[in-house]
Amino acid sequence: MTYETVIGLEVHAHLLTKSKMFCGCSTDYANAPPNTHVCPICLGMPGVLPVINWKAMEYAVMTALALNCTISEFTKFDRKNYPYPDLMKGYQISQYDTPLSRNGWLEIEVDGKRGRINITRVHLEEDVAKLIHRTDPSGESYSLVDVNRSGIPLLEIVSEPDIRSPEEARQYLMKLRSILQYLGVSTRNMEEGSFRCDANVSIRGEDSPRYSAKIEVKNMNSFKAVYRALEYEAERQRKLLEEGGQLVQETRNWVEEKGVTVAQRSKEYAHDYRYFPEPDLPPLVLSPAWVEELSSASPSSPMPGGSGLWPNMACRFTMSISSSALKRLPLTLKAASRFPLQAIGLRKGPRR
Amino acid sequence: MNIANSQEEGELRLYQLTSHEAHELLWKREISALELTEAVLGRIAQVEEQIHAFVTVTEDLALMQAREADERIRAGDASPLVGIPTMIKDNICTKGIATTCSSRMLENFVPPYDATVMQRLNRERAVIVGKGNMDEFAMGSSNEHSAFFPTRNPWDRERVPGGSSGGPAVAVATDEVIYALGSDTGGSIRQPAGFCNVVGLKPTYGRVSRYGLVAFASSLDQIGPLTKDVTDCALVMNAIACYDPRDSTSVPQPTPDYTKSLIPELKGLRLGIPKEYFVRGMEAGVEQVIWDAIAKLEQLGAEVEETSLPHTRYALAAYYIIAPSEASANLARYDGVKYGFSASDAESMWDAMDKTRQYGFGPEVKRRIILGTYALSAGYYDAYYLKAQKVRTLIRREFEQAFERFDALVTPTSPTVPFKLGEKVEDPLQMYLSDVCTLPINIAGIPGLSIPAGFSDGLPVGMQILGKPFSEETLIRIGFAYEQATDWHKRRPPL
Repeated sequence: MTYETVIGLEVHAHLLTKSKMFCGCSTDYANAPPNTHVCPICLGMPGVLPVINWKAMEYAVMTALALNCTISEFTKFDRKNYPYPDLMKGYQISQYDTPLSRNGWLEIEVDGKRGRINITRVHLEEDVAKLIHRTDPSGESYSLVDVNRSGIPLLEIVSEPDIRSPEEARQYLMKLRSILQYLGVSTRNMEEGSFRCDANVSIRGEDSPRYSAKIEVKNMNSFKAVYRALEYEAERQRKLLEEGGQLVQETRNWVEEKGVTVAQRSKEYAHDYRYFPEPDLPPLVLSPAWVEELSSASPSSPMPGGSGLWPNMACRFTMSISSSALKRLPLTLKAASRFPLQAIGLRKGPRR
Repeated sequence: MNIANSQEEGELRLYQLTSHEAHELLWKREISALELTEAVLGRIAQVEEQIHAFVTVTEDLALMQAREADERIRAGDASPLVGIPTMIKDNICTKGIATTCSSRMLENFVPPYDATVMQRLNRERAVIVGKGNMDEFAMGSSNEHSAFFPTRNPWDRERVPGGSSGGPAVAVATDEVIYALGSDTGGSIRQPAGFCNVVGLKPTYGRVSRYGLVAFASSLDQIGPLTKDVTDCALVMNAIACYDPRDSTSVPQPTPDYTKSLIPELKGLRLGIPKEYFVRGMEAGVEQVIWDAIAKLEQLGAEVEETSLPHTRYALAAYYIIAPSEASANLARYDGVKYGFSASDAESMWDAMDKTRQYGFGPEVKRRIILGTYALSAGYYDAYYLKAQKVRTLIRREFEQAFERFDALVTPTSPTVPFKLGEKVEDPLQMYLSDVCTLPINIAGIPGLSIPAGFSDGLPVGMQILGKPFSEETLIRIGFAYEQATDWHKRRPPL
């Protein structure tokens, strides 16, 4: 029996802002000693508060426009709760049900055939600290925490499960990376961990109406690794099904040296994130005028050397904000702010 | 004014001064900030053992700051709070001074930064005498949930001072300090102010920066003053109210001069009396005091009319979803990895985090973390958290409508006089009900002022005055007019 592979990709890219997402610490930590680019805010100390880096918002909207996304009229940040020592506050500030943009697409070309990969959403969040695991000579293992990376602005780009092969996945990632580089919002590479990718992989027999359970694959640190991991995982799933086995939804780590994926221990992914609106950051209204400004400020010429590579920058933001717009606010959004007329609005924070 | 530092009866002693009285004497060089600070420290030495208001007394720092303040006064600094001794609730971060939240978890935590309100007080050369006891992480209404010791009510030491700002309220009531800063998430400034016969203001949400206030429930918390009279309340508000770019929920609105509202007449002011605040189970003595106070306001020229806020009855339920939900996330950072208490007898990373929280938090904090975690869980979010937020919108709207007809609303601060230690500590629901008149105000984000309104069975009763967002001036005006016509606020407990 032949099988169809179905892949969705979730990309996390560091944004090239000068300072972190919610504090003034420098993002230029690549060669810095551990825990030197930190402050009470990115250390998650008691009583401190986040302030949105508006430059990161600009970069995120520019990217979303380049990916043909619709920019949300209203957006907000949410708390994603889970305990782990690399997460300073015990929650990550992310975006849940109102991402800053949705419904875009990216065109790729494989074997002379062009096709669109639809993009579910592009949203902003903050990166976590880095854990370094060590074993001392007596054999006792311990972990060190480097907080320099905590709070670096992270753009999350989620694709629909429109990718049908490891090669399509590689093309998608390369195209996406060149767009980010061209816009000047993110230039680093996967090996440095500044452009990361997780994949959801399932397969379907040609005569079967249903996909197999979705398997999440993590820890792929290069484009080549993504290609190899996806190839391995699709083949593993095929073999398992053919041998009469059952696939259950799980998270697996790619082990580069061995060329295999290995299931994570259940405690590491069995989470209920208990998302709720971040009460320290009022919801935001993204005015069309501001979005248009960003649209025209973006590079206006097509990307060099690309055939059809230049994404459509036309602003698809058509809704206009009027006083009635505030009345149309969903009740949950209103509830998230104490005094809508004061708290909601384009109160831009620092651009840094 | 007849001032003395002696123990003779009938003479006003330095520590009994209000801020505005002390300021006048400092400015005229009749007293020095050092004398005033020494008087306050002497008073602390005299009464603290009986009431336990302080977690930390910063004697050396206070004396140093007092000397600096005297220099500034000599150099012509006329800031109203320069050289005036104050207590800071122990959940407001003070650089270099332990900020414990009255919790084992932060017993040895010394912040390397100041809260915005502290930067503002330091700029005014205030004298920091110490940090005030509270219910752990501001969760409680009696100070019995302090991990260290309960603060006693100076009017009857077998009774609670209220909470969670019990330490600050008691310190002001007993003249251990001239004024104090507290925080109010569901009544934590106003209820203890009422229980101790002092003035307490919860400002509009967004009026005072929360930067550096250790978060309990972020959408409800607000810092505010506890003072001996309404004039001092206006002075402290002048110092601490501001737009702060470090707090995204702080509102960019200019700060008025609140002392301009110290006008002793109420002609033309429309006051509403919402009947739902005279709840079942309210003590007759308290009700009597409040109606007498309302009659006094009428005499002073206010137009008084009964009104109804039917959604009030849902405020308590909504509060006990929203506040614990936010708290469950806010308190997740205390894992023993970065600062604070860290369990040393653990076998693994997860075990260390579990044990740290098991030993570090007290029972009420754990109860609220569990409540909030449950309310936010998959499958329950819509039924609890989302529903509570919708109720919140309705309550806020109801207040907005009321303030189209009224300049302010008047209610009791609490349905009872201070209760006995141990009376409610084993019954969380009874404890929560003692905030039934103050919670809706945080839910709506509006300002609320509690002022001394009289006594029932020899125990203080507070009157709560509510206004629309950013109407602190109206509240101060009403409070001041009432205070000028009465002398309840001048009564001091027998210590």
